[in-house]
Amino acid sequence: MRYAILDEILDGPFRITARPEPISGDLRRGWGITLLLLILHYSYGRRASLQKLHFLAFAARTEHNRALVQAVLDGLSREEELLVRIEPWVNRALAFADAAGLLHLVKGKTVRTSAKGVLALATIMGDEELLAEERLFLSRCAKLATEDVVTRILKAKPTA
Amino acid sequence: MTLLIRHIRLHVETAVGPFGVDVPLTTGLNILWADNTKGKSTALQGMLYALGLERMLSAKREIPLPHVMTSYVEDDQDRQHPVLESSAWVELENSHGEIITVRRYAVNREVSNRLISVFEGPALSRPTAAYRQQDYFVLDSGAAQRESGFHFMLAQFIGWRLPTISRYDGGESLLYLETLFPLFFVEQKSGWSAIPAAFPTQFQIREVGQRALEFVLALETHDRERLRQQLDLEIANSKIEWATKRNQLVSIAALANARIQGITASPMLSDEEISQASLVIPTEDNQSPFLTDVASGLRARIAELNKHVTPTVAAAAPASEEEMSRLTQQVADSSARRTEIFKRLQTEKAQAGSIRLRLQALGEDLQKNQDAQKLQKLGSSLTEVFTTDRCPTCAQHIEDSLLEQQDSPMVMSLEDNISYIKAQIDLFKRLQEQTEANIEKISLVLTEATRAANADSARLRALKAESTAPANIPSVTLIEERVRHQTRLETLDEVQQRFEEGKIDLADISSHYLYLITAKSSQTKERLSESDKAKLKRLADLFRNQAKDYNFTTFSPEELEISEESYRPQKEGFDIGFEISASDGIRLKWAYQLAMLELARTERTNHIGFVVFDEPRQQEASKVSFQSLLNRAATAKAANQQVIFATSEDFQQLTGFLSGVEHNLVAIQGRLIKPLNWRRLK
Repeated sequence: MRYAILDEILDGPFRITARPEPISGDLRRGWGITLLLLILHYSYGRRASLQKLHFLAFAARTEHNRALVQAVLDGLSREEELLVRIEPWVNRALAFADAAGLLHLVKGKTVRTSAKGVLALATIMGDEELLAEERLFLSRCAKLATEDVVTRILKAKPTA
Repeated sequence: MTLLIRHIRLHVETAVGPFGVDVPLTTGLNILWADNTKGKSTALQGMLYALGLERMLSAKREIPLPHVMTSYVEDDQDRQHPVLESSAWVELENSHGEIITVRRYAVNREVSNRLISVFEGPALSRPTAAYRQQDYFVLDSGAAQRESGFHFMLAQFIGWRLPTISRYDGGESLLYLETLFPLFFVEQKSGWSAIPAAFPTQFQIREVGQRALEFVLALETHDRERLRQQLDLEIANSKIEWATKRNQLVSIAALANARIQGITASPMLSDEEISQASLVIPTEDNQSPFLTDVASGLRARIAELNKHVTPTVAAAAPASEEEMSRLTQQVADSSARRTEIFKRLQTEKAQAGSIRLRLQALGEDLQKNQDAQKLQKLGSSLTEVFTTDRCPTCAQHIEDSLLEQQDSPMVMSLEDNISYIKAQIDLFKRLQEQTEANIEKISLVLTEATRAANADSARLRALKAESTAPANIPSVTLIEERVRHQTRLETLDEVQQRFEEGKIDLADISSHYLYLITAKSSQTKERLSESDKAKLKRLADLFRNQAKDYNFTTFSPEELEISEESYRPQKEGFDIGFEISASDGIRLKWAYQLAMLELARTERTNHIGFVVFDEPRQQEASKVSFQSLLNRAATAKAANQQVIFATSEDFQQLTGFLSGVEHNLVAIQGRLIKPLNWRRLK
């Protein structure tokens, strides 16, 4: 009996019910997928490598990261000072978006928006307030973060 | 408050001579007829252009006129001649019978097309006389606000006082003429797509359509709304005034290391409570005596000191020695205590910093959750992956989260999550207020402790100096103490006095604030006044009546209503949209625009007194209804109003429709813009 010990300790019936837990807004499915679509939208040719997607998702997610990455891309701080985290939620959002047909994973490396994704984006872009800060950041930075720049940043070692 | 268009002229200069067209217009029904391709719309667009209203059609700042006005004209032999100069002219008359003529160049090497010349008289219909000319500007900001702006002048000429309304960015702006004219001028293409009108959105005006309608129908709701906004603004100002005054008093109190007790950050309503507010001097032991009590204590001590004759150094020596040892101990203790207080202050400040960070993070998270919620609501128009709780691949249940599904907790719904974050934000804000209050209080305690310690040190120095002084001179320590107390007392008294004066100011602000919130609470919640409702009812009657006249058939015209919220036509509370046929859409458009014109005959409105329809039949509505439209439009004559139709209806058929209808027909055979040589021949 799983709760036998409880029965011994307690003198009445006892039940455990899971209560819903709050989670951070950026871990919501819709939010994550939308961020990916926005990253692709602001990248050249509406496509990006997986590493660029990870990089920009990390960068756009919080105000703190946005400021850090912006400073690096503007040449105000050094690439080595940026510690990029590869976050598992990006892969999950990617899997959902791929399954829903919003984007295509080409040869397991490059991600491209699908026609369905372009349609969804049009609706998202129609509401100026949706992910406004993230959008502003991406419109400034997505094109600065070329594949070369991203590779360099991801390979850079923090200097002591 | 009306405007009559008396005459439109388009004029083009070429190397082979002038080209152009004249369109004289009257009150009542005017029909401008031309073959479809020959540019009857050009004449109407020329009028809009002359009046600087092109941004009503599009946000683009290019000249909305076809090539005949901007690049080349063709003569009867189809030869092309480059346009050297071109201009659009309109002669206007207002309800006081004043006449002006405006001219705006489309092409001119010397004169900018942002300039509009106004001649103070009928320069087109009576060209022989000389008229005073004045130039105004359009398109630049301020064209509607400044005296040299053409739209400012035009609004005055019409007799309009344009209201100020709020924009999306939180600022305010005038209800620009470009947002009103779509109600009077139905342009050939997009003009027919919306009832009451296709309003331009580039001015960022909130609910621009409703605001324009409220102004044109002169609804009182606009004034009510304005009064409400005005009150809100004054209430906000009053709060700021209160907070500023309070901050000022806080700074004054700080001069005596005192803090204010009994005055809240937002305005208080009771005079009695304000007058009971007091200054206290915070102490470490939380006794915090009133400033007035501290001052009385000092006064008593000074009086006590004044009673004694100043003793000599020798006489004061035993007492001085005792005091010296006591003070030495006291200074050492105080130093330790101050270190303690300083630590507490640092802890509170660190706490405040972490609360600030937490609030920032919560704010960001709230935004993300609200975004996610919006996306969920948009979900149906995006794709189901935004809303479903089934995996798009295997159809198993999934939580709305990007965590590992197996480990994912049962995730709170977005609504609950948002309330949860808001509750946390509230909690942390309260904590923040508390911490800030603590910081303020501890800072004051620290300053007061430092002041006391400095006073003790000074006293100690004086005593030490005296211990080596000759025995028979007067003791200075007593004098020093008296002077020190006196100075402190003066500061306390002055602070107290300024605080009392400040309370009187606060009481003034409070009574004004009370007046404002009373005014606000007595305001009616109803958006529309009784007369507004009656006016809208009358408009709906006229609208239904015409819909019936024009043979509206999708459903019974009796079921048509006009919304008291959006002023759009409705059926059973729902906006009328796709369910009606295209031809019935056109009929409703006729009915609405003419209903507004007819309403102006019996009710006080700001209607301009004319309606322009470019291609009213739109190839959709049947002949029978068009006949009824012409009949109805012709009634404008008796009311001194004007209806202008531009059409390329079959001419035979048109003249048939018009028989028995009082009208002014301007028929243009061939091209609209023709060589004007005939005039030279005359």
